[in-house]
Amino acid sequence: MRKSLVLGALLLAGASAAGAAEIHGTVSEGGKPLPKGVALKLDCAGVSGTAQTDEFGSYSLKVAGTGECKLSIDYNGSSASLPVTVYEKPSRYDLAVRKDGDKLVLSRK
Amino acid sequence: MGDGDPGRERPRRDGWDKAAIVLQPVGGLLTAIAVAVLGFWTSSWLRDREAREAILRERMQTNETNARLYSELISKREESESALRKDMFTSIITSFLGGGAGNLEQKVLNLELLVYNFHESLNLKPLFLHLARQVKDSPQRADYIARLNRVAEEVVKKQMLVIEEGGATFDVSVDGTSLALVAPDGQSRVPFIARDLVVDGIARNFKLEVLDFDRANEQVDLRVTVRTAEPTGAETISTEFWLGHFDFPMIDNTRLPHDQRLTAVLNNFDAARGRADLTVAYFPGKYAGLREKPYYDEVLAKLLAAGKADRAAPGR
Repeated sequence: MRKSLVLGALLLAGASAAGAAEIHGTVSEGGKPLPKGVALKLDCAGVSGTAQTDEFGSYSLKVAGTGECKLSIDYNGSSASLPVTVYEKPSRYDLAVRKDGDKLVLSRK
Repeated sequence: MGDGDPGRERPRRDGWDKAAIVLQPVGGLLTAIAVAVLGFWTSSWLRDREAREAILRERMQTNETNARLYSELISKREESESALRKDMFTSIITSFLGGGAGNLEQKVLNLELLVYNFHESLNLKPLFLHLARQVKDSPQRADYIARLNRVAEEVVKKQMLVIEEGGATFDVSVDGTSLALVAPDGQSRVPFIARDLVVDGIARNFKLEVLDFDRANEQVDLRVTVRTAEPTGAETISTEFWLGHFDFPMIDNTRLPHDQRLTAVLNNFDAARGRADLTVAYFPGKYAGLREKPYYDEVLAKLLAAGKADRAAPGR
C-alpha cells in the first residue's frame, strides 16, 4: 500500500513537472513569419511532441521531458533540426530558417 | 417734338438701338438686384462664418474645460492613490525593518503585496534575497521559495511585455560548464554573442560574455559591451553584473546615452545540467521604472528636438 502511494506521488510529481516543459516562439524566413501549418517536432530522449505554426508563424511545443532535446521542422519539402534545452518552465525560441544551397538551416534568432 | 419739325426725318433705329432703349432702365434694375443679392450673400456668408467660429470657439472651450477637469480629476486620484500607497508601503516595510510580523508566512505575504503594488517603483531584490536566506532553514522552504520565484517570474514577465513593446531583444542560452554561450545553430559553443539592435533610430551593437555561473544561487555573471557608432567614432560602454531570478528589468538596468536602457532577465536556470536561458533587452528610458528619473539635459534635448521637428513639419 505504502509502495503504491509513493509510486503514485512520484508519478504525480513527474507528470506535473513534465506538464510545464514547453518551448514556444515564432519561426521566420527572411524576416517574414512562416505560413500556417508548418510542422515542428520536439524529441526529448524518446519522448516527442508535435505542433504546427499558426497564421502568425507562432508555435508551441509541449513535451513530457526536459533536458537536451532536438527540435525539427519540415518546410518546403526539406527538414532541418536544432538542439535545444528544455527546462521545467517554458522557454522562448524564436527561430529562423534559411536555404543554404539545397539544405534547409534552422537557427535561433 | 417731331411734330414741330416735320422737315427733319426721324433717325432710323436698328435692333441695337431698340435693345439699348429697353435695357437702359432694366440694366439699372439688374444692377440694383445684383448689388442686393451680393450684399445679402456677403452678409449671409459673414453670419455663417461667425456662427462657425462661435461653434468652434465653444467646442474648444468645452474641450479645454473637459481637459482641465480631467487633469484635475487625475491629479486628485493620483494624490489619493499616492497617499494610500504610502500608507500601505509604510505598514508593509515596517514589518521587515521593525522586526514585526515574525512568522515567515506573513513575511512572504508582505513581500508579495509589495511586489505586486510597487514593482515599478522599488528595487525589491535585496528583500527577496533577505527572505530567501530567512526561509532557508524552514521546513516549508520549498513552498516559500516556489512562491518567491513565482511572484518574481510573474513580475519579470509583466515588465518584459512592456519593454518589448518599445524595445528590441534577443535570447541567448548559456552553457555554464564551459562558461560559453550556445551559438544560434544550437551545437557549437562561442565565447561571446554580438547582436545589432536598433531602438528609436539609434543602432547599437551588444556583445554578451559569460564570466561566471553560480549553480547554488542560480545566478549568471555577465559582461555586456555596448558599441555605438557616433560621428566622432565608435563609443564603447562595458558593464558587468550578476543576473538572477530577482532582477526586475524595469528597475535594474543600465543607463545608456540618449535616455536608453540595457537590461537582461534570467528566464530559466538548470543547475544540474549547467544551463541557463536569458534575454537581453535594449529599450527607451520611458519604459524604465519610476525609480529612475531622466537627466535634465536629456529631457531638455528631447524637448528641443521635438520643437525643431514641429517647426520643420510641413503644413504648419
